[in-house]
Amino acid sequence: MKNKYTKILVTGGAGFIGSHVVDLLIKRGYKVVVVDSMKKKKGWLNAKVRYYRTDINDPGLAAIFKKEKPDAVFHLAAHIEDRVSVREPVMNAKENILGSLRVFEACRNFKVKKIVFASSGIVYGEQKKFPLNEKVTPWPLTPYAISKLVGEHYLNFYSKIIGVPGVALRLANVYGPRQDSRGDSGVVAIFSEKMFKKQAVAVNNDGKTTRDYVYVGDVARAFLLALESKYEGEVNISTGREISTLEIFKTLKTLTKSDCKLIFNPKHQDRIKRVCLNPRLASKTIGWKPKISTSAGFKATVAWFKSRV
Amino acid sequence: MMKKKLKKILVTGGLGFIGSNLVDSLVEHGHKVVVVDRNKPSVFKLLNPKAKHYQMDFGSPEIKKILQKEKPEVIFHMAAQISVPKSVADPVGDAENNIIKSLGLLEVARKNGVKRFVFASSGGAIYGDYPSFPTPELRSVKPLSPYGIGKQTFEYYLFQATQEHGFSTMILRMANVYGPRQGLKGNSGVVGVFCEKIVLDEPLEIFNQGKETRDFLFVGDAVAAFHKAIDSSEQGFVNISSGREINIKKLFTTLAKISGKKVDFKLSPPRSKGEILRSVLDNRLAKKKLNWQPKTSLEDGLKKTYAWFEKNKLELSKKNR
Repeated sequence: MKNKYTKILVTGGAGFIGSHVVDLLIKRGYKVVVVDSMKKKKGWLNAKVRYYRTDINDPGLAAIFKKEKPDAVFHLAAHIEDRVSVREPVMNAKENILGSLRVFEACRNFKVKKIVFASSGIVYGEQKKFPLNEKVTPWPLTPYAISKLVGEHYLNFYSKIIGVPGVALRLANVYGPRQDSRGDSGVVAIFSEKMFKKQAVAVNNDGKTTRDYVYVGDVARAFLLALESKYEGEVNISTGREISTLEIFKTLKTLTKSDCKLIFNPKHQDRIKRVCLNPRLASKTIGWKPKISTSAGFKATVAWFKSRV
Repeated sequence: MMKKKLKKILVTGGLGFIGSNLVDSLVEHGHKVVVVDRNKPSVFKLLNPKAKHYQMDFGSPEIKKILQKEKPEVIFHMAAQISVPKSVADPVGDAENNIIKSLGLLEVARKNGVKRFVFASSGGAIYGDYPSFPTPELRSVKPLSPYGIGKQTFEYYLFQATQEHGFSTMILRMANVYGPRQGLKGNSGVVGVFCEKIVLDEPLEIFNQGKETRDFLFVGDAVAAFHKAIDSSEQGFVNISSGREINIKKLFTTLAKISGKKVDFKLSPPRSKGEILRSVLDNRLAKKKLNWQPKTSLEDGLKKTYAWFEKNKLELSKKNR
């Protein structure tokens, strides 16, 4: 199949999810430009991209668009630490809300033909009926979640009023190789690393909190499918399967053959007890379904963390 | 009659259209009022002499010192970038003012002893073309303009502050407020524009053949809702509206009749993409939660408004020169 778009600019293209997206773009023959500040990490930059070490809030962003003239933009750069956002909402809003707006404005001014935005299932907040579909009214509980939902609203404005078609991918809990194990999310990464380092693992409360875990390779495919589709709007990228933290612990323990101890942390309550996102709309609109089974995904992730220890 | 507790209240944008009407009324009721507004008092004398004015931007870091010094119990946050077309032309500028600076104010207020934070939001701009009329208080919608998105975004942060920190907040989603002092800085609602043009005998333009509808609420009624919000323990949002749907053509003929003049006008195509075609807000929740109801008929409200423009004809004619 011939690609409709030639050159893709990826913000956050050196990060965990972004780098997988970039690798897949390169493999499929796209030209790729990466804009990433690489603030905290060395990143996972594909050697075949043109790379700009720039923050999306820097005034230099427009010049990059002007020079590169990308056909489409994947916007993944963000401040992603949910708990930090509660302490520092203004910082988070500047990075994520103003940052996204600056990216979208550059798309408007330099005639970008498509935007795919990395949103998050976190926008739904605390809900009662599962699995959640896209018609459920979002109710974000943290500044980070607010910033993602607001990014979607602005994208909708650019799509409907300005005429730059946009798709927002509401990603479930993404896991896989290269995930940062230092953050406060990313339980698969954190557990895997601790098990190989023979450290004890802690779970919040009773470990029965559930999330919908989706493999990063599947997520990367979703970006490319969203790009080439005609759909505009929000869509869940998920498996539709709930897995408890305890289950993850057990599965990873078996895979790593570790005798790692589990500590319960009754003081740490998870505000959102259950997450499960219905992936049906993605199948209908952009032709995406998760392909990697949980066991295959976990195996691949564990193998990668093992190679890094 | 129950005696109301008098409070110290800080009003951002207290020299603006709604803000200045609100300040006058608060002072009249005996509250102590501190105004934070970056503008200088103008020839229209909108600054109440009994209110203390800090001429500064509410987003300035100095605001913390003012809160610590003045110790207001309540903040009415009225200051905003209020032009929808401007927000479309410059969404970043709109967000910097209406989201980032407002969020900064909220954080400082929460950490410096403010007891209640009341936000002037916008019903029409948030609901956009949501296809249900009169529109009830929807939790989360997709506004059509960056202005509407910005207003809804700050609402999310207010909710978050209430849920996470127990901070007392109230959101008044206003309909199209009109009245004396409207639109003195050029970015006015349609009533202000029409009154000014009629008073100055200038020709006026009615967009989209006057078919668009709005929910016009008299500023005196809007101000009454803020009074009710002071002592209420309610959290969350309510629509503050007339609940009446009026099209622009009808508004124009009513005003023209009040003026007794023969008004020169022309009918034009829609002004821009994303203009809201219909807007009328359900106000029953405000009655339940705040015991508030609109009292002024459109005719009476427009008469009072027109009379103010007539009285200030001379100043208005100089304004743009």
